[in-house]
Amino acid sequence: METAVEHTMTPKPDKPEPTMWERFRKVFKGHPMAIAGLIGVTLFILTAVFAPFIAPQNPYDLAKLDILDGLLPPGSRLYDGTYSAMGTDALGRDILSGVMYGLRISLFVAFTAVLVGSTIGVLLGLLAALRGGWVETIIMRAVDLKISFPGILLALMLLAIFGTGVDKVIYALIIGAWASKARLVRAVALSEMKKEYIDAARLAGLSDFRIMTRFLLPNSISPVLVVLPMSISGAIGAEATLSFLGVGVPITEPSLGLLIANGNDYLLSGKWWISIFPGAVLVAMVLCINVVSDRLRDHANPYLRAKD
Amino acid sequence: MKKTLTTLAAAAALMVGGGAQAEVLRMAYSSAPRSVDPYPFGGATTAGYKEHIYEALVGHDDQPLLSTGWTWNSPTSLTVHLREGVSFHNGEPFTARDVVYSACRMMFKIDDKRNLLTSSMGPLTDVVAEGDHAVRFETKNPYPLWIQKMKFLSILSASGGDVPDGPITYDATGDCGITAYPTRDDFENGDAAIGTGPFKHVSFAKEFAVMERNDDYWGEASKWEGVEISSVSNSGARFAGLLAGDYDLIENPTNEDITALDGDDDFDFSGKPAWRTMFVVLDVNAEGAPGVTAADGSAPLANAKVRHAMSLAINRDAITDRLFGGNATPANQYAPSYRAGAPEMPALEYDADKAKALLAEAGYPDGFTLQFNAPSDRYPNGTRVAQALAQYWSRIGITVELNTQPWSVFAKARRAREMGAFFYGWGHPQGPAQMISFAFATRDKDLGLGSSNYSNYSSEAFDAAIKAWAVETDAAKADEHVGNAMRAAMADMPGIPVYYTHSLWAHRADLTVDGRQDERTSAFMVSYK
Repeated sequence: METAVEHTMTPKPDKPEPTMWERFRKVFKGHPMAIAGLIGVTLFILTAVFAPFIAPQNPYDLAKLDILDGLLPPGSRLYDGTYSAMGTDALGRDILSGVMYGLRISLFVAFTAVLVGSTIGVLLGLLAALRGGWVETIIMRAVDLKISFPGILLALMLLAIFGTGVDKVIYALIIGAWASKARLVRAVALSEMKKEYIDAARLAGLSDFRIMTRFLLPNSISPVLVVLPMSISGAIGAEATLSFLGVGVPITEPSLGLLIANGNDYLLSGKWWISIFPGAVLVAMVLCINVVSDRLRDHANPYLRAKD
Repeated sequence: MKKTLTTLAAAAALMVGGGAQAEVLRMAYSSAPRSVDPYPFGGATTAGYKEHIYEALVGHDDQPLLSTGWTWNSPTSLTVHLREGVSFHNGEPFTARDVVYSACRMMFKIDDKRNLLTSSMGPLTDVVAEGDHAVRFETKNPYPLWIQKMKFLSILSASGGDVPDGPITYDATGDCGITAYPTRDDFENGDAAIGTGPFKHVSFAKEFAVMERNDDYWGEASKWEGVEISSVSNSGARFAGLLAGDYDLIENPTNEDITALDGDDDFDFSGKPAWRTMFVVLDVNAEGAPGVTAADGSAPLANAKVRHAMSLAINRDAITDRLFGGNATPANQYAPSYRAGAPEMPALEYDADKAKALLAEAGYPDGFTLQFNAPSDRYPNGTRVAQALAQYWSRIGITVELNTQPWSVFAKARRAREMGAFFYGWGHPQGPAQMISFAFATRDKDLGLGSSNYSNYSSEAFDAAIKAWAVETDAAKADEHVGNAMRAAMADMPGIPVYYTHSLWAHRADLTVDGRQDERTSAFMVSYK
């Protein structure tokens, strides 16, 4: 009996399982925009990670800045003999270095906030689906409450109460990120709950926690993975907005949003480079992430995939 | 109503005529005047508004205005000689009776609220009319400062109140046998807004006030037929209003606005060094200062060498040049060097190597950690200057943690004395001595000294000079005492002066603005080229 079961459960594979690389190729093959986006994202991440080694200046070290180098246009020679490719801001901060370091902060804040926020959201969503009853009611009403608030307003309120700083911005964005994931995961998990393998697991006497982590999670997670890049680009934008409004990161360690805000005062007076370069990088990065994330979403959609 | 129509017509004529000869001057203030009643409120905005309507015995330059001079009868008795031939807006002549009435009104509390000058009038024991054209002020102690304080005593017409016939007898409660004083409404609808100034009240709302020329003014009448003051707190909106032709002149354009005007044919800007000194307050307490830590547990800011090193590290010219485009003046003492009564002092040196050596000599070759606080929304360019200061101190080895926060939070921390080093700006209408007496004298409630001594500074030499100044009636000798006090403080450096602010105005290119140090904006400053 046992052998018979085993026999039916392992059909002879007529084709070897596709490797990771093959799957990856399949998603992007024939989509030049998505490939360009992917290359862009990779470059931005590499720049952010290696910024301390490749940036001409450490823009966060006040001792390295000189206000005598302030407001110089792109291509100017600085006091220490180096050249500034993108010009300098009012305090003599090299914009190129500022952008590289700003990328670090922006990406770090967005990744951390989205990953932590999504993890919390996914767990709460699964718990709601699995337990139902009052647990579900509380969690889902909290989700409704959160979603009914404009995200940026909520973040502003939190920062006004708890003060500013990189850590506070991350907390504020985590609170912004969890709710939509909880709702998404719960919907998927509810349909999974009706399937027989869950009943089987229940009958086998497994604990809720084990069912949740071993069975429900792997089968409900893919929609979240698909929206994750979109969330990250959203979080990058939100961080930039908060910093632009002056409630985000500290002024001595500017992110992209704060760099743009720094130059905002000078736009009318013709010193365009302070805002334009960080702004262009921000737009390019968000665009690249969105292109990649669109491709992932299309690929995950069975109707669209059938056309491929 | 008729007056309003005239002003409107004049404004329309201006728009149609392209401003060939504007009759009404339209100005935009950066905040709203608080009342027409000259007494309850101070502040440059309210003062700037009300000096169109009211005048005092002494002008803003400490020179006689509604007076022709004064004589000291004794150190506690001053006779002020009044200007003759002056009349109020309602045609009543100006006499000594009006001065006594105004002093009474100043001391009288309406709705139990003290007026602006009440404390300065504390030493006065009597105000007596000597005939129609002289007033005698009697004081408890020698009170030479009264000459300068008189500029705050705007003169109202006694005919505005319910005053029984006969002489008015001054008393410190302001009761003076007067049946009724005019109310806030009486002032705002113009019934009681009766002064001697070059303009007459037409209408007043906080966002929009209108005045017309006083054709019977005792001095030279204004070239402007009227004045309209709008209050626009948003700097972008104010600037846009100027560019759109809604205003002829705006106060406090941003530095960036000014750069944008560069090369513009229709608009221009004017600046005037103002009386505000921007400085860094250092807590010199020997027990240590909040947010300041050294590896050996000592109190670095208590050491004068450290404070001088921090001053030497700052390139003040670079700050005023680069961050303000020259619209600020490097400071060399705790009050603007160009103010009357400020002593001659040498420029403050910038030498980073010397600063480093001095820091090592003081026992901090590796520096120390300093939390430096600055308000983020208070001073033009304030956060940029704070970052520049942090740059300079970092370069001599001090680890600076820059903490910028909104004024509301900052002011609370300052009151609670939770900050060991902070960026701060202060000007005082009454000159250099007043400012340093509040900021650096040893705290003494009875003498009113050191009320804002956030440095916890205490020096015998400084206190002696300030106390001598407070009772000196001879102006030259008083200046000498101020000089001694200033030099004593600068030698100890309980705060680091950085720069003096300039007041700025942006205006139509066909106007000239001859601004004043006191940050006020008035029609007197403005004329056609």
